[in-house]
Amino acid sequence: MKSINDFHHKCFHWGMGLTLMASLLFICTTLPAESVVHAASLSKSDLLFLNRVTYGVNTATAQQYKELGRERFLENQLVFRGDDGLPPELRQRIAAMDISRLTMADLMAERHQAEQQLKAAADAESKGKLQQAINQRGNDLAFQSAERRVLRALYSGNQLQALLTWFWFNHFSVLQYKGYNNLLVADYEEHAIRPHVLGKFRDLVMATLTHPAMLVYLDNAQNAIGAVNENYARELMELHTLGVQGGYTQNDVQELARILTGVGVDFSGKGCPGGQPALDAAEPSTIGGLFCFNPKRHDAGEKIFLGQVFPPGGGAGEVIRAVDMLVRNPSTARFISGELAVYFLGDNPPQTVLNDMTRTFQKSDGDIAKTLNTLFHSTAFQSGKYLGTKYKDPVQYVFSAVRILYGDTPIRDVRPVVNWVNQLGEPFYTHTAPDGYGMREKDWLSADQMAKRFDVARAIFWNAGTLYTDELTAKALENTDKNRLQDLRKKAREANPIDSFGIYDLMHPMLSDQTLGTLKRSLTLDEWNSLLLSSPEFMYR
Amino acid sequence: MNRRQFLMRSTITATGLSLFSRQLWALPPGSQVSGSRLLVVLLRGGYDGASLLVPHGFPFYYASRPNIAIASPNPANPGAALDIGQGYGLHPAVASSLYALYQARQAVLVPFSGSQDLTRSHFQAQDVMEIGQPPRNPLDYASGFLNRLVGVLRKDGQRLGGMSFTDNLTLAFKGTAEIPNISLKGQVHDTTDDRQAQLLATLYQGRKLDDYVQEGMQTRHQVSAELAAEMKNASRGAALAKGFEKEARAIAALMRDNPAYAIGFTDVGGWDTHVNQGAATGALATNLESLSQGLAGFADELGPDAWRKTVVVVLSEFGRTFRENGDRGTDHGHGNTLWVLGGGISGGRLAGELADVSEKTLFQNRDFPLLNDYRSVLADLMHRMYGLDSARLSTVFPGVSSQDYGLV
Repeated sequence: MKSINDFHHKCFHWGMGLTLMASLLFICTTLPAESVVHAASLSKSDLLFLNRVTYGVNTATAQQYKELGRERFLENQLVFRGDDGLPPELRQRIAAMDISRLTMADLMAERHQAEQQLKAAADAESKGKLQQAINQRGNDLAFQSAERRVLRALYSGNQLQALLTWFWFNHFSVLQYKGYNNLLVADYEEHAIRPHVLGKFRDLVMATLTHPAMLVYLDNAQNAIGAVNENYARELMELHTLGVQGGYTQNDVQELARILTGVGVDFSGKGCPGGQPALDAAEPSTIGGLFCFNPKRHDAGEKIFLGQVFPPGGGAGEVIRAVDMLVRNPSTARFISGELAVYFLGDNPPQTVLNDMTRTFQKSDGDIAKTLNTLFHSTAFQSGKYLGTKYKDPVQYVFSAVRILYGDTPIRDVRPVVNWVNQLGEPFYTHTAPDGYGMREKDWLSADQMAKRFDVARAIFWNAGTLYTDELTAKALENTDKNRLQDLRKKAREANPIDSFGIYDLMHPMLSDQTLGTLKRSLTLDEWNSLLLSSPEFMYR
Repeated sequence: MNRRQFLMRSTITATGLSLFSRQLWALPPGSQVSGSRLLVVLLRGGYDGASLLVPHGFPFYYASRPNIAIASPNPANPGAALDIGQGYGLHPAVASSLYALYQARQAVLVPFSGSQDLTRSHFQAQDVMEIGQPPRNPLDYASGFLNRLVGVLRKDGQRLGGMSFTDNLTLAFKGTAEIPNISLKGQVHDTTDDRQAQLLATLYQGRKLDDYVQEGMQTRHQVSAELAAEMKNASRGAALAKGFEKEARAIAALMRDNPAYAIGFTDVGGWDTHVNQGAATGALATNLESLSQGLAGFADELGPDAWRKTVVVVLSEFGRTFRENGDRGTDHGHGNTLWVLGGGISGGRLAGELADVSEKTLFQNRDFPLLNDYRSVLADLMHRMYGLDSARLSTVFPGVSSQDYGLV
């Protein structure tokens, strides 16, 4: 019961600074009593561990951990479980989204129809309106994808899987604003990335290589014999597999670009022209009929790639062979192990861990769960000395704040969450360059970032009403009845009080005396919560 | 006609006396250079310099770019290049901005320029450029060249500061000198009241992130106050600028009066034109217009007096392939065209070593060659702006070779 005593102690100190006894009573008596039940049962080491392998501890995750213990918790997390760990209410919300109900082919057909209407439009005004509707539809579909990602990250019991969906999407980053990608990113995340996040690395490479979102983004859709475009070929080696120091030359880039000629998309809806809708019968195809390998666009001449001769006359098989060479290359094992270790261990992971992970990656034919298992059981990870030292990126900061503040009661409007992430500089699906966001402290820690986080910390607390008012209702009222909307939000805020006891439980073992001392000077619960989210301890995971 | 033209090289002597007479603005030794401003703009993605500085006098240009070349100068054609002599012209989208500055002798272009990096990786090449050391493996990320510049100047007792006008502190500004960052791409609000500020300061006092926190809160406080005052003074009924121009004008408003922001950095993305880059109009033209108009707006916002003591340098991590690719775009290349703008420079000309534009001079038979290391251009400028001698310059740019670009 230590934490409760501490908390009362804090109330006492608030009292020292307060002139209004009434509000003191309000603060101390409105704290929910049930939080006493789960008080003070996780140690600092447990909490630090959980904050590293999840989007931040909340009451539900803490409960799950207490039931399973560390080893079984980890075992569970290392298995892909789809939406099994998501509350049914949220599964329904996701199932009802257009991105769940419509395939990419449906969405492209819809877009083609809209484009026909646009072409046929009589005057500039109706053209403008139609164009606006097209843009709006695209943005809405990409936003649905962001919404789905946010809901899973906040409320799925499969937290590691959610983190890894971000990680691998970021590794194979695509931009929503290129070509038709607004319509395709949701499918890309759902089918090319997510099913493989704990599986084989080769599947990620093949699934992204055959997905129209990637082929559009890095221009391989345009790569053809006589019109070679080396954009994707370069990034496939530099960013996706070997790494920039992975031992390839400009000539290898050009040869891989030739190998990738003809790997494209079919947006016509009329079927892959003279080609094949999959690379090979044996390759799993996840791309809803839009992928197209066109042998007529493929350069069938001899190539020499990474020292290997690709004899003349080769077709799609060359692509599979090149991918196999890349994913089995030792540089890839080292590069991918390094990326995982930076995200899950520290900015400068020790060489021994990297060596062990690289070995596991190679022995297991690029098995991601096994490679992570090696990392989580390494001496470095187990020692705990890396835990609590990794500066959160903006997504981790915002998600962990919402998780700890609002627990497992699902928010009704994700727009504020998306805005906070944008404000801190890590918006979804809009990183322009193919390298994805940085994962190290140097990529995020700055004076401006800290100042912005303090603003966001206050906003997260103040926006309970917005978070818990249904998004569609709010959208409808935003233009018609602002007073009613305000009223609804006020009620929503009152109906979803913040469980400060619970938050205190999940934080206090990690808080320094200096932080505790400062917290004691807060005059209101609002201030206390925003200071907690602004504390140095909350900046790290 | 022999278009090869070698500029006289001269060595920066230990005393630097021979060059001090041509300093950008005359300064007695040991005096404050607080009137000087330097803004570095990095175009991320590798911009296509051959579309900005159009080599229309070289038939190889039109042979290499059947679909994306800019037409040769012709007053009757609004999509034609604007002739500047020596076989070169400027993109028509910069007519009222960069071209006007060039005509007013306030712009110098340095073709065949860039860094020695050969990876053709955006990220590696940008890092090499911001670090400002010769490329090596692994790269030394300890500091960037702008940070070392601030360090050298402060050591000399100069009260100049740097500001990274970016979401995150850019690599060029990382290092031992403490440099704040603030993005002016959106609105800057300061919503922290005094009590909150005090509690936050207490929370971080003496701890690892203390400096960032103090700097972040102070910078926001100051910048939002200065910009608010600026907005009140400067509306003058003019249409509000949008996009990059809005940002550039806000940067100018800050840099004009406060030596704490005398050395600035910002970046502009969206230059990686592998597909359908366009020609006189299109995606690249729109980007060039926005950039160039923004920088002309920057000069305008500073006003003539401040602009006379200000230099803007526009860099990009690499150039693009000289020949167009199969998709009416261009791929990652090597040499590129660097811009130097300023109210007090000796402008209206091309600087540095020039080469013939032909198949023979292409680097690896695909790219513009590198003849003018961007570091030597910047070193020459710093020598003139701040009177830095060769020892100090080699702190900022280790191993840089000195070269006189005649920028004054």
